Amino acid sequence: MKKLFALFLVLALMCTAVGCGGKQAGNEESQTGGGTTSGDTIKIGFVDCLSGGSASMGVPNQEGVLLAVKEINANGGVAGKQVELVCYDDEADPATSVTQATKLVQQDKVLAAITGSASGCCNANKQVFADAGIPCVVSVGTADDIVGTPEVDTFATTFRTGANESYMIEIMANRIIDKGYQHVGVIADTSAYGQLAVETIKKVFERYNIGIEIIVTHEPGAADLTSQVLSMQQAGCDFIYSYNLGADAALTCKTIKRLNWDVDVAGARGLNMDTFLSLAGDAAEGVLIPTDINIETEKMQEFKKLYDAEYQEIGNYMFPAMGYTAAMTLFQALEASGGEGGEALISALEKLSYESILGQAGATISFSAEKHEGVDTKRMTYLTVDSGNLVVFDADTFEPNA
Amino acid sequence: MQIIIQLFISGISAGCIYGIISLAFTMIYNSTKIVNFSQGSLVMAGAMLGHLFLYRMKLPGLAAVILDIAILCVIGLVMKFTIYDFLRKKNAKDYHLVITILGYGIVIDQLFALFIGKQQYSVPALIGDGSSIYIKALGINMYPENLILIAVTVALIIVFWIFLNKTQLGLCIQAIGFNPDAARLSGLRTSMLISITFCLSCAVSALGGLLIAPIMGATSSMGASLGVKGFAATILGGMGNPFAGFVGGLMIGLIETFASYYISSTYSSVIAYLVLLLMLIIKPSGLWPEKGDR
Amino acid sequence: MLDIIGLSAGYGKTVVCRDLSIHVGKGEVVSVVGANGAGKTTLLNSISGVVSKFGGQILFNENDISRLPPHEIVTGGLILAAGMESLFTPLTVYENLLVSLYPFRKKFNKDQTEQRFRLVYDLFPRLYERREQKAGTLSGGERQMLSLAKALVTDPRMLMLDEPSLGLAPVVIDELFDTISRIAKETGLTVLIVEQNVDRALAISDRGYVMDVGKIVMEGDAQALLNDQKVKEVYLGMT
Repeated sequence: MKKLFALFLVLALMCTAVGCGGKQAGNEESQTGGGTTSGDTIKIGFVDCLSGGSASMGVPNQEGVLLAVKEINANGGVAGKQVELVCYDDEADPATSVTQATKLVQQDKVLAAITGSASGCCNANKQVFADAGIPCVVSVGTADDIVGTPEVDTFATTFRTGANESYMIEIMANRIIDKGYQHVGVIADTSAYGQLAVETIKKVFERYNIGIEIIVTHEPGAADLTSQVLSMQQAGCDFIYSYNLGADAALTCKTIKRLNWDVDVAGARGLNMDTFLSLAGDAAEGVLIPTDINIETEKMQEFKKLYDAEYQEIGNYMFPAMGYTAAMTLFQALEASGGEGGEALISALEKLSYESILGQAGATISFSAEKHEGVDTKRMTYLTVDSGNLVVFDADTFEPNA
Repeated sequence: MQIIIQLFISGISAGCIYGIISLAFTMIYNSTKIVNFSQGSLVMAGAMLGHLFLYRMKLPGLAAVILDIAILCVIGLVMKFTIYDFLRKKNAKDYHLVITILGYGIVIDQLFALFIGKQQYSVPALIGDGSSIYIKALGINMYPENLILIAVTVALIIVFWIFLNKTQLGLCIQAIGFNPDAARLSGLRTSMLISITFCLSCAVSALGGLLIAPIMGATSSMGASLGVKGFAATILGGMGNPFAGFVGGLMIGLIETFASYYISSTYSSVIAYLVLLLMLIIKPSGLWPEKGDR
Repeated sequence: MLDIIGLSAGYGKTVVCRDLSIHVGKGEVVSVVGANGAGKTTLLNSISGVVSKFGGQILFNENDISRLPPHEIVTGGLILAAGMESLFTPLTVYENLLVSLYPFRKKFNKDQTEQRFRLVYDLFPRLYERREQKAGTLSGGERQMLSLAKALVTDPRMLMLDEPSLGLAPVVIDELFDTISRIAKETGLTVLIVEQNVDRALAISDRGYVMDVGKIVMEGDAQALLNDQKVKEVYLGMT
């Protein structure tokens, strides 16, 4: 009996360690494709949430990065060397992200890093890379202050290829002005992500002179949003900005539909996850979802083929595309710096002008000494749900004001 | 008026979620006086298995329900044998039991995260095609999954109340909780009857998970907050009485919903817990104090 | 009917009863008397199967019941009325009896069950009056009656009583023992009583045993023991 108990205890501890501890994701890879001596490879680090609620962003993101690595290595690598990718899972926990980043810097001695989806983690791990003078490229994380402004000490080494929060909110502000909505309602969750978003929305909308009629919040994982939606309805909203994720966003849409409320709804980029569609069902019809990609462009069609061949056909290619782009951007710069890291790489990145697969036709990613946000005015597209499918809503580009 | 009806129904629906968890919890408490701190994890298991059977494997509804209950009963019996049979024989103190139960909660959470995943998953409703139904009598629309949740919860509460208080077997189960020594001396097979109550509790947890998940999705970490709210409902209503826990759940659900609309959507949970706190100060034993002593 | 041979029992590593040998014949009323802490309750509990035995044999109707689980001993017809502590206080008198009948639900059909209830209510009219009352609201004497009733309702072959006089007023004790005596005489029920109240117990018994510190120190005819000076000495001398 005692043995049984001990066995159970060991099992319990094992599972806890596996679940909570710093687990390396099942799809962690260290790809070389050629020589194994460190002198012949360029080591790149990748850290993102590969398990946890946000794994639905992190895992596809990683898939994109892996595709890029495979492609670049097949074409002779970067500056004549093969790329070796070291991946770590931070489980969307900032503290873990710092640990993993430290591993990448001290243990694996990476030349550069690609960071992931959770803003909290990106903000935490950028310091580690900054302290070591190692450039990191933020693939998905949206918080504005991840990159910040040149006075910030982490600015020098932090670059972002994905669209950032205020940029996307500015796009939405343009649309609101465009369509003449008068009474904007915002719904967000009470998590750090949601609250930060609300602050950014307030700031941006003020700049654009858009009045917010009402802001309602809810706990993540809500069981019911009736009172929130009713409040917005009572306030006479003609436009809903739903800045929540997954099941909550789905519940928002379902509640709106159930109340027979015919109102225009736009979401945040987080709605690009498959879970939103399957949970919302037909309540998602007509909801606008901003995205960094336009699947109808030739370049995205190419990427889709690449992805489908390696993995399988999926509903939304945004996250893999973003991972792929972050990696490719980095490789472009590395090529220009002759495989050198540090200052040379930073310099190369700041001189870069690269037409990535993200955005409209002709959209480019470029940095400068004062600008480490790679987006240009041709980035955003809207998707909407039509008969259960994600389709491109508008081929128009949306240009942010100055 | 429409709004009040709308909010009322939503509050009842949320309350039923807490009520059904409270019921599962009460079943174990009634027969063993054990506070099952991992009840939320069991409900999560029911929900995640629902995703596995209904969404991934696309099994027919009835098969999924039966399998779900069956697997949960296995988990429950493992818990029962460890906690009740094994540890009790070794004269474990109460805190030993609590730690073991909490440990089980963690293990169940992590096992499901490991084998199914850590994302949010959808679970289709057992009935209905996903569109809302119009209820003329109340003048509002409801999704079938909310209706079913309310209906099944009410039905379960009634059934279990009758079972515990009006049937011979139910009275025996309560008796074991009241005085386990006397129960044994009366010739009751206490161990087997407790196994039965664990299974009943797990069946309720399984159903709970299957009913709750279509509304709020299934994720491996959902157990914690559900367990806390279910526990709060039980404390508010009074331990040991299925009906009391149900009413406690309804109260929390209604307070949350109305507070969310009329006061603040951000602090609705805080307000509900403040009411609970107030309740505990005024009447610590709950609205319907638990029957008797050991 | 009941033969205990060399029984040793106790809790954990503590031996409370040592090498006890007791015989109860069919239809007899036998008392085991002794002071507090003599091990009498432990004796009854180990016969019932809830206290561990370290050695010895227990035969009930020639069958060895020493290894049987408690519920099988009860359904075999040997039942212990353990007194006020053995009630389910939040349940009503009726519900208490109902729970006692559960292990016998296959033995009695609907009519027979009704008969058992009637029999018990006739024996204890006060319980009948209070049948819808919670057991916790009963007086001391009524609780003892209920404990007895719970045992008798199952139509046992042998009844064991654990200190029936405990906590009761003298008048109530008299009434209780009269009832026990009457039942034994009228129905020929075999009874084993364990008691601190030596006089009352031996007065209604056929034979008796005296226990001290876990051992049998005297045994014999009840009347003889009652009159025996030595019993008083040993009893009074016990700590």
